[in-house]
Amino acid sequence: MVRNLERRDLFKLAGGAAVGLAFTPAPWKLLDDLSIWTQNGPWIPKPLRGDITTRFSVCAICPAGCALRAQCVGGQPFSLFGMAEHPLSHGTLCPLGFTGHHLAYHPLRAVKPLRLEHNDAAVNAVPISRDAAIAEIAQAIQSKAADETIAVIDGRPGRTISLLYRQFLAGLPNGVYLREPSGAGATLDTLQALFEKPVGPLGLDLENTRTLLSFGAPILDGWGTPGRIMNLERNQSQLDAGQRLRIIQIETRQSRTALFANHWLPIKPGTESALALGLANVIVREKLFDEPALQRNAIDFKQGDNRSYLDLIGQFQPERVAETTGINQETIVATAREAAQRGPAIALGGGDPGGGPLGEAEEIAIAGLNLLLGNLGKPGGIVGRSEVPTPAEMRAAAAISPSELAAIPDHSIRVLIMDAAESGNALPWTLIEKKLVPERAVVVSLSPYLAGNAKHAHYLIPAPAHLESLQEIPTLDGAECSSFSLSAPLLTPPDGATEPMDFVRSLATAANISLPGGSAADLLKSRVAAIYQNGQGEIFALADKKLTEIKEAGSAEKLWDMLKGGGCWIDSKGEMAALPRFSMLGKSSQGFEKLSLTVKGRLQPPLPGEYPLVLMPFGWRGAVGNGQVSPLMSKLYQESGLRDIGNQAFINPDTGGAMGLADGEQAVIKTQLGSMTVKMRFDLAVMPGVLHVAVGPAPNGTESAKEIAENILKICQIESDSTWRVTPAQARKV
Amino acid sequence: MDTEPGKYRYGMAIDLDRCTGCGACMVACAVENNVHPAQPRATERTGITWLRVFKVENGEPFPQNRAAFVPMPCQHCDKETPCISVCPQNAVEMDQQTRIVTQVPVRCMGCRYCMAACPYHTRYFNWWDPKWPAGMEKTLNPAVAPRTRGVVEKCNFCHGRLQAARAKAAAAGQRELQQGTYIPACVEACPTSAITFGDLADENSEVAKLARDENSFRFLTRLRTEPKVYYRSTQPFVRQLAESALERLKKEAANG
Repeated sequence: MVRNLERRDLFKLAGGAAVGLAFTPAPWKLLDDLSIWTQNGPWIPKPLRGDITTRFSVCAICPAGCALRAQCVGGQPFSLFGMAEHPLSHGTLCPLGFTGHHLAYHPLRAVKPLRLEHNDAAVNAVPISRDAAIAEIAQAIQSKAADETIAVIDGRPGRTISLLYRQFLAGLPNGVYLREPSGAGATLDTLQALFEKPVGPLGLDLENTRTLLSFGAPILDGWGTPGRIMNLERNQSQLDAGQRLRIIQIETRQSRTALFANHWLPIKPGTESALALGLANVIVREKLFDEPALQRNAIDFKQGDNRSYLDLIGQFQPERVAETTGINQETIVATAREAAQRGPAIALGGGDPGGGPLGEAEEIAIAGLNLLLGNLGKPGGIVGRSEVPTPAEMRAAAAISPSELAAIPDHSIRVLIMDAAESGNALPWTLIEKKLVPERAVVVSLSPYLAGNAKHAHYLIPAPAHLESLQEIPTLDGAECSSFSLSAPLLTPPDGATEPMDFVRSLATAANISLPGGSAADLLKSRVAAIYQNGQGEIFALADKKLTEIKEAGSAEKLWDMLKGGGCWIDSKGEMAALPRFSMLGKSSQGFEKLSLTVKGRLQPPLPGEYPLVLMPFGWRGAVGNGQVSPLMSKLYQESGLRDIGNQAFINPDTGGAMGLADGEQAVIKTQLGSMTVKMRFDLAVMPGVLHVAVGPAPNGTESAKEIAENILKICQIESDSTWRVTPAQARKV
Repeated sequence: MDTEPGKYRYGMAIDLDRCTGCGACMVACAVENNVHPAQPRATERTGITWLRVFKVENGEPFPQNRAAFVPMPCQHCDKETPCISVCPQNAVEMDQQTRIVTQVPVRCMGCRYCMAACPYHTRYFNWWDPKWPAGMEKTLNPAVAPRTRGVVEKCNFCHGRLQAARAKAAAAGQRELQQGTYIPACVEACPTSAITFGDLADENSEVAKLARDENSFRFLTRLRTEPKVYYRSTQPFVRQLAESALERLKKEAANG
């Protein structure tokens, strides 16, 4: 019997099928497959395929010069590690170094010359040809007034291009060669300035030092060549307790060095000079120094006019210094005795790079402490080292000496060229800006990135990024011996990138100044040839991974090849010339008065009622002062909370509570120069009354928060000696 | 070659007295394993860090306050491994030769049971498609496939390096891996040599000796999962962390 199908049957079939289907794996499989299909597609990046090779170079992100072993696929580096056998870096790379191959692809990368037009806060970047930009800059140079200057600010002094800049500036009527405020080398530079006549470059023999008084230097957080310090630390366990290096960290903030130092002295902000002179007071009072030697060499140790070094430190009695610095009297006395009796000892200034350099008075006081400790020219102390040989055709560069920004009159720079000084998160733009001729100044940045101080420039002539060009790594500040290595390129730069050497030579041609000819590589080759011809020192070659005498290289060309292949030249330990006479108060006639003023610290208490806090910026060496950071690295630090980046301010819970602030909430920080909004973080490790704000690239580098690190420096007070470490501030709830 | 089950028991010993919290291990790990920079809005809960370095403090007021840094990769639990037990897809496995807990992303369906089960919170979910800034995808490690959105990932003691070491040993005609020929990226990167890696089954290995150090400890040992990552610290407040974490969990359980 055939039954007619009804509409109801169709409904039953459909319903039954639907219910039945739900009990089969089919829909779930379909759902699973659908989700897989939507997750996989051409948008998922695929690693490159090709031959895997290993290439060697040297990291040029910062001046430390750590050796690199790059694994490459089809020539493209995908992994960077250190080389354990390398005599300078001992296999160590910092986190920034591990991500060095990312920097060429940073989102803020500039790949062609730009003219930057500034309209209020906005920057309009207009592409311009390199020749047109150079013609316009040359025009600005030629149209400068008689009292205006042309300046180059060099973030990496000591390179061959540094000599070229100096030669270029020597050809101009008012050329000024500027160095970025120094960190690691500040104490040694100050010492040089105290001598009656030059003694040649100085270095630190940390390998034989037993007591290191670090005035805020980030010794265990990237100072110098990180591998040197880490190697030093690793070797400590093999020494007797009495021979081991003891690090005494003198710093307001509980930095990583403070955490891992043998002893941390939490000092009140801006009172380092008082402590250094207080330590000197104890050493002199207890006669823990070589008095005849000091009497012999020091011009102003004891001169009977009530303005001598002895008179100065007489004002810095331990009890008074204890009140100023917040460090108790017994600790001051014990520290002074340790430095004097557990030698060789070194006192090191510099400060952390994010917080800015210590001031002139602080560095003079620290340098004076070194002179008192008598560590100059002795093993474990401050030692002499040689200069890296310079080709004969570049020696004219010595005609123009380096200057500090602080020494330049305000509103005097007509044209400023910034090389390797692009990082606006460590060098405040406000400090540079006040030196420029208002309205008429032309600023040229050679940064590979449109970021930091480059955004304030009028022309951006982007240099090749890290690993895109042949770079030289001269001796690092504080190194015991001179060294020289080459960072061989592993990547190809974009067409629009310009070698700074080519730029300055083109500019010189346009401005009718004669400079040595040849390409950038030719100039570097001539320097390598000068090193070979000098015949001193040893070469580390990758072929046998050991040090051999330089003559073993065979020729300058072979030395060049060895250096390009990741090797390095290291000079033998230098001899210090006979110690000349020196001043312990500085060469300024006002030295005594300036140092005397520090007896109460930089911020004379009480702080103004409206600004009861002390604002102190801080930063991590890897993330500030060296350009950009890989977005991957920023992101990891952001998520782990490991590095305090950008938009957060740290305050002691007691201080914050008393000011009506709450942990994790927004607050406004205000100084006499402006205000900014931050996220307030309560931190038990912060000294009461202090406000720490991190500077450094913001997470991911492309967010609106990237301005914050620069903005915090805008509201920091820049003092007459170009420091910005301590600023009276207030914080209030939004 | 090294196919005998349980012959190796790879593990780590991390000396917290030496760790300065520089993060080199974390960065080297991410580069080695093609961890992507994620979205700018990623947080500590939604971002991916196979190895995350935590800062821990003693809670004392200034200036007695002290801190230490604790690198926390997957703990590679040797017994009753929670993530293996709960995975419905068999996407988590214990490699019987090496005792390394491995994750198979292609099997993972993203249910995140393993994340809920992991007492150490060392597993991470891909909330977004893997994305690198333009051009940076050229820097990916060809030995490691990027994972897709919707799957869980975690530390596998650099599986790509293990395979490369095995291939190299085989090419040299060696049947077994020589000591030191296989180390994860974090171990190689650590500038203070705070991380030691090796075979815990070899009593004479450096890592086994460090694991037996009187100041060594492991986190949440009362769960009896036998983690293969050991820590060492001479600071009592750091060692107490291993127990206090459990105390906190107990309190939370008691309070519902």
